[in-house]
Amino acid sequence: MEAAIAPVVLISLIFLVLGMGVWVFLGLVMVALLSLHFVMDFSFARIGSITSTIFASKMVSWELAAIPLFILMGDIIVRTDMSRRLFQGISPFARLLPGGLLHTNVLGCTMFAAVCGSSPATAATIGKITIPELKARGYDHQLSSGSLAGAGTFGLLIPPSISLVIYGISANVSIAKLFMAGIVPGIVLAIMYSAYIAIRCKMNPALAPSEGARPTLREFAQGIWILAPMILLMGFVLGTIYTGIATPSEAAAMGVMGSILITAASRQFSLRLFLDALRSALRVSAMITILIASSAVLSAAIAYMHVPQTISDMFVQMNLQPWMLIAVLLVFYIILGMFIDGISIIVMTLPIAFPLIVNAGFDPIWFGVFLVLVIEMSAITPPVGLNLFVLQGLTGDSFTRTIRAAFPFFLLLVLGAIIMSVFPQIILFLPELMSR
Amino acid sequence: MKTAAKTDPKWLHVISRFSHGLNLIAATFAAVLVTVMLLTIVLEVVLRLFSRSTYMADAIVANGLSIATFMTLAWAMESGSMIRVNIVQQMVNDRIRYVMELICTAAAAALTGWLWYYIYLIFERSFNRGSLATYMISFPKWYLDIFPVIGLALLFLHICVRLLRLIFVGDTTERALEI
Amino acid sequence: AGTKWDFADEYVASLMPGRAANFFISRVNERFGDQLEVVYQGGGALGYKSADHFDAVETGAVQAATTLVTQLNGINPLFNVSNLPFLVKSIEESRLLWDTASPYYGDIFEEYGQVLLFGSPSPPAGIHSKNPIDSVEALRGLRIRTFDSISTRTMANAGCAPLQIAWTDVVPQLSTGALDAMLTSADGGASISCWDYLSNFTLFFYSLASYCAHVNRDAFEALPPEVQEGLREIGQETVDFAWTEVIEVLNAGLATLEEHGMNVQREPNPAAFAQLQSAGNDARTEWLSTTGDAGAALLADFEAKVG
Ligand code: NA
Ligand code: NA
Repeated sequence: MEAAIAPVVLISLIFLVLGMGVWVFLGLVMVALLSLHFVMDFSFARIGSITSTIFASKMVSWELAAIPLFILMGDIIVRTDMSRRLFQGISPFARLLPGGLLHTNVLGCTMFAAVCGSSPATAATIGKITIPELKARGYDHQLSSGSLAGAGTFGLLIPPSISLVIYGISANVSIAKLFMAGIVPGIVLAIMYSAYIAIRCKMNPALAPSEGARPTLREFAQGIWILAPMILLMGFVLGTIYTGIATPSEAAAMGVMGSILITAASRQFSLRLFLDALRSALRVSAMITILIASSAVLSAAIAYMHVPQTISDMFVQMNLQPWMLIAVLLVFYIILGMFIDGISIIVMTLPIAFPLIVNAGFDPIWFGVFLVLVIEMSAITPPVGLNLFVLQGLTGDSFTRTIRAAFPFFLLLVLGAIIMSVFPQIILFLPELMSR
Repeated sequence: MKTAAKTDPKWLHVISRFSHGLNLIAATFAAVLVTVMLLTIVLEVVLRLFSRSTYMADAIVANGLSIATFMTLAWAMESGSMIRVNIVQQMVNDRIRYVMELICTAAAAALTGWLWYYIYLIFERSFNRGSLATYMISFPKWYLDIFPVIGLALLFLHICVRLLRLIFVGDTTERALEI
Repeated sequence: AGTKWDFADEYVASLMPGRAANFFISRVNERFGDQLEVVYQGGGALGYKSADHFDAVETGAVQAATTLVTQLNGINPLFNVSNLPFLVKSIEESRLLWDTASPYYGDIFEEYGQVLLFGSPSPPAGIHSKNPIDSVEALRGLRIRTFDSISTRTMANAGCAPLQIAWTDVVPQLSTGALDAMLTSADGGASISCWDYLSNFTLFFYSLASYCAHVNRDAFEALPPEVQEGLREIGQETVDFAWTEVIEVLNAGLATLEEHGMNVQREPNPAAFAQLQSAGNDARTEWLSTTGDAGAALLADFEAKVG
């Protein structure tokens, strides 16, 4: 009885509290507090003990330390001419496609995701460069911010990825193979995004201003030359990981040092620049990490209400066909992802979903990537979507407008998930190649 | 904040300045800490090349982010970096918006105060018991537990300033969120 | 309907503490289902890390939990006895250590408003490595991932170059060759498919981490006396179950490593073993100095039992 009304109460409360405009990090805790008290009859003292313990310990983690440092790396780069360089360097290549520089979001995020494990950090770093540039040049703002929200989620899919690591450990699956498995789906999605942008711009040329003649060979060479410091930096970060000098978590610190070195080499470094970058990185990382803590409180409340067990029982009773199981899970994860952050979703649902998946005969590596793909959707679905919040911060747009901009890319992610369910080889062929 | 400060009554101006000053000090501390984390990791990476270690990286890096986050909270909220969903507030008239803002801020103050008390109990427990944080060098655990207490106290104070300003000045403007 | 308890576990149900917990829970629900229903909350579902459980159970935030014993040494260093390197040489000895130490643990839990119900071991830690550990020489400069301050110090004393690396970073570090070895159990190595990178496992019985399952005393005493008595009995059954089960988990772990082509050394090289043992003496001396008479008494008890 309790369990049956719990999901309804939760969802209503989230809409009510966040809709009122309560700061999200406090609102999630409020929802947990109210639902535990009124649905579960927990005393305020017990809820206080639960909440405070999670707050005090959730952010104590090696892996999370990469967040402020990757943001700092991006913030240093943004304060140099590197932003312009990245943009200019990608431009000749982007101009080949209908939609022109709109593709810089997708290309930039795909590149940056290869050094960054977090999706809001990817969106924030690339968006800081592209959003104002594209706006100034008269590109369609909705398409530009939407593609950023969508492509920002590549941070999770393209290795290194914190989510894949968490899945690998929870599900006893080789993380190295998971990392291999994430590469091709990431590229496939990037192509789908670019194709969508191209088609939209082909149908309505007003979305993108004409960038003049076809770029010359010289411009391509120039592009690569301009990109060189950026490629060097990525090479440096990736190099420290793939040579084993630094762990993926430590690579963030190496990235900061690398960006300082490159900034210094081009005589743009100053203490002031560093402090400005640090100030900005501190704010954003505080916003993200405190959200991780408060969504952990909400997740705990959901677990106390035994919602996962209820749903699991439901699934077992329904006795579904394998493809129906995946379809039901997809819908379930999309709904859950509207309210809860990705990492919490993985940790919360895996104990239920994993046995169902294995029993139905699915490959655990395939499911890991599928799950991360679905988790990516959660970053761009309202009312709780980290990338939406980041994007709103970057553009200053209303939340409604932000949601609308991201929606087509959400649909593309769903399409991607369906394609990869029908053709699991897209995910599995690289890791299978590796084990031979 | 800058515009609001002009219309603040003197007493509120004093409290607000006090809160702002403390937030700035705490955030500066966090900035130093993140820099120390950065240098520790780099040092650890370099030492590892010579098969050596600081043996402190885990203590500093793992706790650093949590401490830095708590110390940045109030300052980040003050500068408008804490996200909120503003769809509904944008759709209603000024009067309703004022009431909604009042409810949100009061609820935020109540929640933060409530949470502070339980965070304080954690600190009190480890302080009275003399529990140790056991890293390569062990130290009293309350050295770590004090930071959430300070951070949430600053957040509470800041939200109270907002609440008082809403009640006595009627100001609902918030600076744009910047990232 | 009866009382409902949540039982918190940071780790997943397939690991030893989770198996023991689920054995306990199924027996409880079987015998007292109408009076008490216990729900297993594994994988850290309740948001707690193992180190948070002690306070969470004390305050009643959650009624029951299973906690890695050594994470309690900040509360009382006595808990670290199960973490002393090379103290136990077999699973049977580890059971004797549990039987000796659990009354001491029980008193500490009692002092903080909790009741110790049962314990469970995890399989013994050994060294997964690229090259076989067949001599003292093989330990020299070995870049080995350790898991806490005692293991780091012990490995450093033995001439290795221990590295502190987050568990999630172990695989990438192995794949790039920045790590030569890691100190963990056979099933721990299997869980990250360590055979992709390492080809040897040496069973050293470095230590058998143990876990305590503890409940809030008020919640416990609110149960009818016959249920309380029953829980203690089932707790004892669970201890027996866990120390039998761990042998199977150990063998299964070793078999998995062998199936994947790893060379499993059940009997360590005597010289290397002696080197590691003497490297672990520091930890024992220090533990005795911090735990005083109680520590000395516990150790004497244990050594008398081992004979
Ligand atoms: Na990534
Ligand atoms: Na969402």
